[in-house]
Amino acid sequence: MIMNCHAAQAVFDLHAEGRLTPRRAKSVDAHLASCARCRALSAPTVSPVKPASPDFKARLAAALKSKTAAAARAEPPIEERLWPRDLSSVAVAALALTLLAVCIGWSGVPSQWDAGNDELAAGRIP
Amino acid sequence: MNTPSPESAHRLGLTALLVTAFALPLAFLTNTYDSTAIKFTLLQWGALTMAFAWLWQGVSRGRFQVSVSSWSVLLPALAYGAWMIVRLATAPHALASFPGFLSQLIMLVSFLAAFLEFSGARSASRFALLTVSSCAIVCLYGLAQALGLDPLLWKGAFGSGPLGARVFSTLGNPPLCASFIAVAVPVALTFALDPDTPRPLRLGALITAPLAVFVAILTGSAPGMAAVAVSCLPYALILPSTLRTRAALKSAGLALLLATIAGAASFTLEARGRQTWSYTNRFRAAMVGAELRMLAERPLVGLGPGSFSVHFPRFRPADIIRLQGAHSSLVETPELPALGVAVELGAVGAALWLWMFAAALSVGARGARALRRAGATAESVYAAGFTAAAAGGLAASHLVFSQSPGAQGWLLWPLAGMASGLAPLACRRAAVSVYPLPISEDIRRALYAPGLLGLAALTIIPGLWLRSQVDLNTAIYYAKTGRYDEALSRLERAYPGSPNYCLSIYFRGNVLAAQNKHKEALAAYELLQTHAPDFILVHALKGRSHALLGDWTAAADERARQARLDPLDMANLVAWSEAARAAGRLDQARAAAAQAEALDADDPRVRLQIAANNLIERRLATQDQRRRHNGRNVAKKPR
Repeated sequence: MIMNCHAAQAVFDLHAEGRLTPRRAKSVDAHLASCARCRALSAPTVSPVKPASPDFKARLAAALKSKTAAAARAEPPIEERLWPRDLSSVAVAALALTLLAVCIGWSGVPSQWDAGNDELAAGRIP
Repeated sequence: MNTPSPESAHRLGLTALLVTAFALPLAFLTNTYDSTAIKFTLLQWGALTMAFAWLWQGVSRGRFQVSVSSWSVLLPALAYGAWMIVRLATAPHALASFPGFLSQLIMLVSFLAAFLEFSGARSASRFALLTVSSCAIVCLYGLAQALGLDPLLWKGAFGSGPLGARVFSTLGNPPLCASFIAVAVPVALTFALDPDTPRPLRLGALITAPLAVFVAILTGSAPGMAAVAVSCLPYALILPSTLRTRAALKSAGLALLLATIAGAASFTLEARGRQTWSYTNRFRAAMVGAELRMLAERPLVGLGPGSFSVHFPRFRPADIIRLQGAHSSLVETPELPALGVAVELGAVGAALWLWMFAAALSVGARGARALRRAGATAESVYAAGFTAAAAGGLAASHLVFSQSPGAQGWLLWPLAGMASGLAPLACRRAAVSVYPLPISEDIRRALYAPGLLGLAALTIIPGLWLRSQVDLNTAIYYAKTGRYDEALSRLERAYPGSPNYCLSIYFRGNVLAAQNKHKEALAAYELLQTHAPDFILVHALKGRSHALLGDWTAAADERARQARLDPLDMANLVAWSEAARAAGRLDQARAAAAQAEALDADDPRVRLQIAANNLIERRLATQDQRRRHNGRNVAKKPR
C-alpha cells in the first residue's frame, strides 16, 4: 500500500516502537526510502539503537535503586488515586440530573396510552 | 480556530457514556404516548456523541488504531453492523422498521465505543459507580412506591404486590424494573470488589446490591425475580474462577445468596399465580412458535432489521390474541433475543450476533485472568465482573424473558464491550492495526467546524422525533375530547422515522373517520399500508370506511383479510358477514357467520347475522323458484 507523507508521519511513533503490523511497517519503510523529507523527520525516532554494553542491565538496576531510595527519603509517597479526593462534583452532577429527570416527569399532559382499553386504537372514538 | 485535543474528545465520549448509563434508567416523561420515548431519545443522543467523539479523536490524532488482538471481537461486531445496514437497505418497509433498526444500531455503537475507547480501570469504575448510583435511586423511589408515597400520577398503577403497592420505579413496568436490577446487581458487586475504590463507595455498593434484590421482590413480578436469580449465577461462577482471591469468593457467595433469595421469592409468587399474561410460559411458547414460522419465511437473510413488529401480525397465533384479550396490540418484541435476531437478520445475522457476544465474553474472561497475572487487579476485577454481568443479562433474557428494549437491554452492550476492551491492557505494547489519514493537519483542523455542525444537526433529529411523540399524545387527548381539528393538526406534524410515525398516520385515519371524512380516512390508511401493511386493525377500519362509502365488495375483502389476521375478533367477523352479504357473496357471509358462531353461538349479533343470511338465502331460493316456474310456463306456452 502506497502512503503519502501525511499518513506516514502519523505513524512514525508507532513505527519507532515496533508496534506496526509487518505490512504497515513495510509500507512506511517504502515511503521513507522514497521521501527524503520524511526520512529526515523520522530520523531521530527511527535511528538504529546502539547495542547496550554487557553490564548495562546491572548499571541500570543500581541507578534505579539509588534514585528510588533517594526519592523515597526526599518526598512523601504519592498515592495514585483512581478517584479525586473530593467527590462533591460527582454528587452535585448526580443530584442535578435526578432533579431534572423528576421535573421533566412531573410536567405535561399525562400519557394517553392505555394498552388494555385503547378506544382510539380500535377506531371507536369518541 | 483552536482544535480540541484527542484527550478532550476522549473525555467527551466518556462523559456521554457515563451520562447515558446514569440517566437512562431514571429518565421518564409523562407527556409522551410511550413512557420509553425519552429513554430512546437519550440513547440516540448518547450514541451520537460517543460515535462523534471517537471520530474526532481519530481525526485529531491523524490516525485510527486498534490493537491487533482486538480484531477477534471487532470483526464480528463490524460485520454484524454492516449486515444490518445492508438488510435495511434491501428489505421492504424500511421506514416502519427504522426505529427498531436504529435501536439495534445504538446498542452496537455503545458496544464498540466501550470496546474501543473507554476501557480502562478508571472508565470502568466510573461506569460502575454511575450504574450503581442510578440503581440506588431506582430502589429508593421503588421503596417510596411500595410505601404508597409515590407523588406522581401513576400511583398504584400496577395494583398491590407482596408488600404494599407493586414497584416499577422509573422503568415503565414491574418486570422491566426487576430486569434492570438483574443487570445492575452484578455491577454493584463488582464495584464493591475494586480495591482502588474508596471504602464508603464500596460499602454503598454492597448495601445497594441486597436492597436492589429486595426491591425486585417488591415488584411482585415472578419472572423479574427469576431474571435476578439467573443473572447472579454467572457472576458466582465466573468471579472466583478468574480472580482466585478470597474477596472474589466472598462476593460470589453473596451473589449466590441473593440469587437464592430472588429465586425462592419467584417460585413462591409463581405458585400464587401473580403473573402478567405477557410474561407467562404459555405466552413465551406461543411467541417462539410464531418466531420460528417467521424465520422459516426467510431463513438465510431474515425479514429486515427492526421489522419484527411490521411482519408479526401475519404470524400472530390465536393463543396470543386470547392471552392479550384485545385486538390492538402495537408493540411486539421477540422472545429469545438470538431468535429475534435470526428472524430479522436471518441465519447470517444470528451467526454474527452469536459470534460477537461469544468472542466478547470469552475475551473478557480470558482477559481477566491475564490481567490478574499481570498484576492489574482493578482491571481484572472489572473484566471479570462486567463479563459476568453481561453473561447474566444475556442468560436471563433467553431463559426468563426478553430484555432487549430499554435501559436493561442497553446495559448489556457497553458491559460486554468494556469487559472485552480491558483484555488488551494485559499487554500494553502490543502490535496495533493503524489506519493513518492521508490528509494534512490543516485539512484535519478545517474538518472540525463542519463536523461539529453535522453533530449539532444530527442531535436535532432525535429531538424532533421526541416532539412527534408528545404531539401524538396531545392529539389523542384532543381526539378523546372531541377536538378533532386540533388533533389532526398535531398528528400531521409527525416526522418520518419517529417510533410512532405509523401510529400517527393510523390515528389520523381514525380521527378523519370520526369526522365522517371517509375518503380522506381511506387515503390515510392506504398511506399507512405502504409502510406497515397489517398495522393493528387497519383492514377492519378500511372495511368500515368502504362500507360507509357504499363499496361493499372492497369492504368485504378488507374484513376478510382482517379475519385471517385475527380470527377471534367477533366484531370484525360480524361486519364481514354483513359486508359480504351486501356485496352479494352469500357463501362468504355464511362462512363469516359460522366462524363467529364457533366463537360465541349465543351472541345476539351472531344470531342476527345467521338469521339475515338465512332470510336472504330463502329470498334467493324463492326468487330462483319463481324464475324457474316462470321459465317453465314460458316454455309450455303454446304458440
